[in-house]
Amino acid sequence: MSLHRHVGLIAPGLSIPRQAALVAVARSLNITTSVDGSIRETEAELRSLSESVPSRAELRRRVAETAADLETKRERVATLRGQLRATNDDSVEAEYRNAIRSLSEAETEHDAAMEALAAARDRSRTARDVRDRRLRLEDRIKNLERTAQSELASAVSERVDTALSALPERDPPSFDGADPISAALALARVGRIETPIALACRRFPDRDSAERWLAAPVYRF
Amino acid sequence: MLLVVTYSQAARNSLRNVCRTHDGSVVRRFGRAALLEATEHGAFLALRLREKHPDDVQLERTAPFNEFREVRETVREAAQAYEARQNPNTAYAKFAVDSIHPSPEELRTREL
Repeated sequence: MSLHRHVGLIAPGLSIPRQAALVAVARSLNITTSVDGSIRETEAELRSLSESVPSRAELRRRVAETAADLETKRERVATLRGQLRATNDDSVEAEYRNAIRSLSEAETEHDAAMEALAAARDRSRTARDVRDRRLRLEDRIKNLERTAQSELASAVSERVDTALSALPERDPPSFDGADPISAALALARVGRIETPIALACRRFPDRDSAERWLAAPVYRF
Repeated sequence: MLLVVTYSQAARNSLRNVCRTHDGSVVRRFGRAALLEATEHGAFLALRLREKHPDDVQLERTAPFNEFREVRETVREAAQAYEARQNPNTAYAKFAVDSIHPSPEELRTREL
């Protein structure tokens, strides 16, 4: 978030996330950190890794359907076999032969469905190796960013403290203990701001003195 | 049980939230993975996660493992004997040579 988003409007009721604002001050001054290069490299590697995992829902459905079909046809064969034992009817025998042929077709289909699913599973495993690597890179970037932020904040905290003690009419004990308006003024003075700041507080007698102190363009309300 | 494994920060966060909210259907949580109860509610939670993060959620159903039913006795004996070996630095491949125990290659090629 840019520094101006934090201190663009300095008015009563202001609330400032201190650490994030310090980082924004450092960024406005183009301060670099020891991990900038690593962050760029890791982000580039992350972008280069993209492998989508093939959806296997259709294949799973096919396996389930062919399995159900197989079961039905097995039962049919068993029933007809029983009937065949009890009778010498030719028509039952013909039906039995048909049922057997149909069962064997269903078996073939089920086997094919199982094989297709197994092959897709192997492909997914490779894709997931890539996803695994991505997750590790995402985590590493997050850690590096934390390091960068704490470096950035410490790079400017002394300057912000100095600015706080130079505030007209106030002398807050520390940056964290300062009231939000004092903190915002100190941040704005240290950071580089080109967009005018809207100022609605009575710390400066006029716009000129505010601009001089903040080293930034100001609108005063 | 249902094993849910996540492969992105977003999916991992969703899993964490699900586990926090539906403690009763969660058997165990391991960082980016979790075991859910084999109930319809466990399945419901798992499917919701996959719906939300199709590429980043893997679902598997686990089965209890009975080594007396599923594994040959020679394999169980080999594991026992190797863990009781004299020299802790002996690799299994070396340990198996000239013994009654199966070679690592044999173990790798035989499926359960």
